[in-house]
Amino acid sequence: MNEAIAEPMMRVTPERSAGEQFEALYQRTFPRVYAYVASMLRDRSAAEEVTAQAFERAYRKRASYRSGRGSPEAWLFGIARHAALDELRRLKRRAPLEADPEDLSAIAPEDHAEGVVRRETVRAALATLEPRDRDLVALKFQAGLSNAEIGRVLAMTESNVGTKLHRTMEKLRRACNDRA
Amino acid sequence: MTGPETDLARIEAALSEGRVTADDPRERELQELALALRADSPEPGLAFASTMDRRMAEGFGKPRRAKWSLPSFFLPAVAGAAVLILVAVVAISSIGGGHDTVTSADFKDAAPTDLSAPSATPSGGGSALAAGGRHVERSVDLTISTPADKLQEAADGVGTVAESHRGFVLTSHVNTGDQGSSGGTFTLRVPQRELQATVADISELGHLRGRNETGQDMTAPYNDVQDKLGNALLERRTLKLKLRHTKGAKADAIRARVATLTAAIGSLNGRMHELKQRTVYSTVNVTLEEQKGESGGVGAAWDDAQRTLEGMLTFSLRALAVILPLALLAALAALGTRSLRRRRREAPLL
Repeated sequence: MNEAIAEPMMRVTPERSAGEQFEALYQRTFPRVYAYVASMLRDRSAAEEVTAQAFERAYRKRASYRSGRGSPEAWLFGIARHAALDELRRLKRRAPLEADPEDLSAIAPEDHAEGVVRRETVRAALATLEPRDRDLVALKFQAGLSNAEIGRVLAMTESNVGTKLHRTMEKLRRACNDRA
Repeated sequence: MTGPETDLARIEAALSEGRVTADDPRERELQELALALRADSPEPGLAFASTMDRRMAEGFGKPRRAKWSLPSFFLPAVAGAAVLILVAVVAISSIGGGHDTVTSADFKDAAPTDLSAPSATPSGGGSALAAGGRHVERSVDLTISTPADKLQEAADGVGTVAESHRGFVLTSHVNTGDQGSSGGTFTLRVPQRELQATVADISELGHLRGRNETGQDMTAPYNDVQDKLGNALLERRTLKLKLRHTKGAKADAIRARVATLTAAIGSLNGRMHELKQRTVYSTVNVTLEEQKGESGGVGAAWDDAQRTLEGMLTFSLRALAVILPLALLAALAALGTRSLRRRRREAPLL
């Protein structure tokens, strides 16, 4: 699990320098940004390049961030999403994400098969979703954003995000049951 | 209790606690799914993470793929400049006129307008028959102010100016007595080709405080009367020739027709003469006023303030008439561009 998700949202305080604030944001979000971008692109090297690009862009634009327009996370993931979409459009890549090599020793033999099956079932169910729904799932579970933050990123209301998320999760649940 | 809100709350609970908490089988499935999705998050490799940490510490340096782009202030600056230019063009064109009537409230330092300027009227010429054979009736109203002791001199000057330009004073009324305010009114008729020079000379008799110039194109009625007159004359001549060889009742009928035509010709001649008078001569209405002190008076200041305010209001309205539609168009274009850009950007998700 991504530990950064459980951390409380750090608020930008005026007494901290912009550089320090950005570094704190980077520390909190780097793994999540990578996870989200990798989920979108399904390509490890492209994900690394786009993640780096997203942080570069955010760093250059850090002065343009306004707290009244959402949390720093929502702002950063908006930039990351744009970068990922630009890359997707440029490369028109749809190749499946290169899987990480499994650390077999870390998984107990009795859990291994069940875990792999479960993961593959979920991945297969995810593949049946519309790209927009997969984006929503990635923002929720890989990026770890709240519904309000997702609303900021996707230019939707929080309640609309909730409704769409519920519908998507139901679809996923049924798809998993069908495959199980 | 079940429903979207409950399901979402169960999902949030599972994410925050990191385990399945619901009793309901369907809700448990949703929670398990949420945990599985999160657990399947791709993680960055160690090498990449350390590279990123180093770059963060260095402030990311310069962008690797620098793209040429316009400064962020460029487009708003260009848009602002375009609006300013448009406003200036509107203001200049509104000052330049283009109507049949030109009115000025105060011409303290202004030179008399060139009345032969082509923008004022369709014909625009200083003479009655201007370029293109058009006949224009012109009149100019002038308001001149002079000190009380110079009023009589100015009044005499009006007549002299009219005569010097081969015109004449049609009516005049001058009051230079002690009772009430002094002043005078004159109606002059001057040849249209002398109009510009006449106005210039009268303006020098005192302080030009107002001028109203009107022009009316009389070409259509002029041509109409001319055609009718020509036809009537031709018909009368033909009938007269015919009459020489006709006798009896037929000759009487022709005579009657000739008489009718003669009357009509007389009437048309009169009308032609009137139109010529109106278009060959111009009317200059001159109002002489006693100058009320110097321009430092409260009344003059109040008048100036009113005129300034009126001018500013007029200018603002004209500017708004340009800016508002432009702003609306710009807003619509911005919305459209934004929507198009979003649609284009999200094309991979469609």
